[in-house]
Amino acid sequence: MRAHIWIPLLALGALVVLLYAGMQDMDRALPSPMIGKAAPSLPVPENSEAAAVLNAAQGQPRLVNFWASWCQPCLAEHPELMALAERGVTIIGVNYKDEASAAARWLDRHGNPFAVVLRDPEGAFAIDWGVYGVPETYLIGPDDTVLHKKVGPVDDAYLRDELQPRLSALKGPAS
Amino acid sequence: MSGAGKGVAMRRLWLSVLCVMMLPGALLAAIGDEGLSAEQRQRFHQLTTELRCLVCQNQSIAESNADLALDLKRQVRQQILEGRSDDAIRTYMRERYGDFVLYKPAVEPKTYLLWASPALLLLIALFILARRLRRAGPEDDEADEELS
Repeated sequence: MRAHIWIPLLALGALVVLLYAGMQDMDRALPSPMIGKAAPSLPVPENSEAAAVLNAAQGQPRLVNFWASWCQPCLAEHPELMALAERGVTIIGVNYKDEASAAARWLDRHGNPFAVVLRDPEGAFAIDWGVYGVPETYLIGPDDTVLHKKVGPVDDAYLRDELQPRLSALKGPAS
Repeated sequence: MSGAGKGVAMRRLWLSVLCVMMLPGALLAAIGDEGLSAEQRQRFHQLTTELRCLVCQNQSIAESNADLALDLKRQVRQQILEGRSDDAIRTYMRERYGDFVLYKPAVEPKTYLLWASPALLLLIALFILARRLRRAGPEDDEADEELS
């Protein structure tokens, strides 16, 4: 009978363990309902040159990266984007809730990894894409469907485990 | 006399603390429903408390002051003004942000377990209780003493 008094204590212990385990799962990235669907529309390019680049990117695998000059994690992922661009990956930059001049200065100072920069000063296009915090990076397939979404800065793990396998798979059947 | 006075003073203190704590919520709730009729305003408040802020994931967009929450509130207001139904607005949010954006997820195969879990937990608790009561028996007073 004495053993019964331990039951609440054990239950409490189990609860503490459960809650502690829950706290370790701090990845706040949410699954995107966009995966497998047609990519939402992008802001209209500001000039014909940008429009041509955007047109050429259609039918190609490409990244769509939402960023802002005021966003610190965007600066953290910036070298990775530069390296990707150098390797020939097309990155479409969507400048989110930013001043055009601040964005231009940022790109001048740190380098421009984007094939084309589109502007979303109100963040209206970002809502259509389901963006909830910059940076967010979408992989778009040649058929214009969303293949993957990365919330937060692009890092080694993303490049190795998510992006590279998908890019290889896309290249595979074609060659 | 002085004891009663103290009690009243304490109660006043606690009441004012409570009022202050409620203030932010009351202030925020007033934001974003300009230009809506009374009926539309009620729909706005209902919808915004049902939608989760994706940035601060334990708040509804009604409570949240995050940039995105303000944007989404603006969306809700705009769409109410455009005459869209509550369901259409919920679907709009769900298509973009997924089930997580709804504090009340839709009932569908994917969420059956989620919706059934309170009833399941209650059943399990009743089962355990029934077993213990049966085992203890009606005249077993010893167990009661030890439990209390």
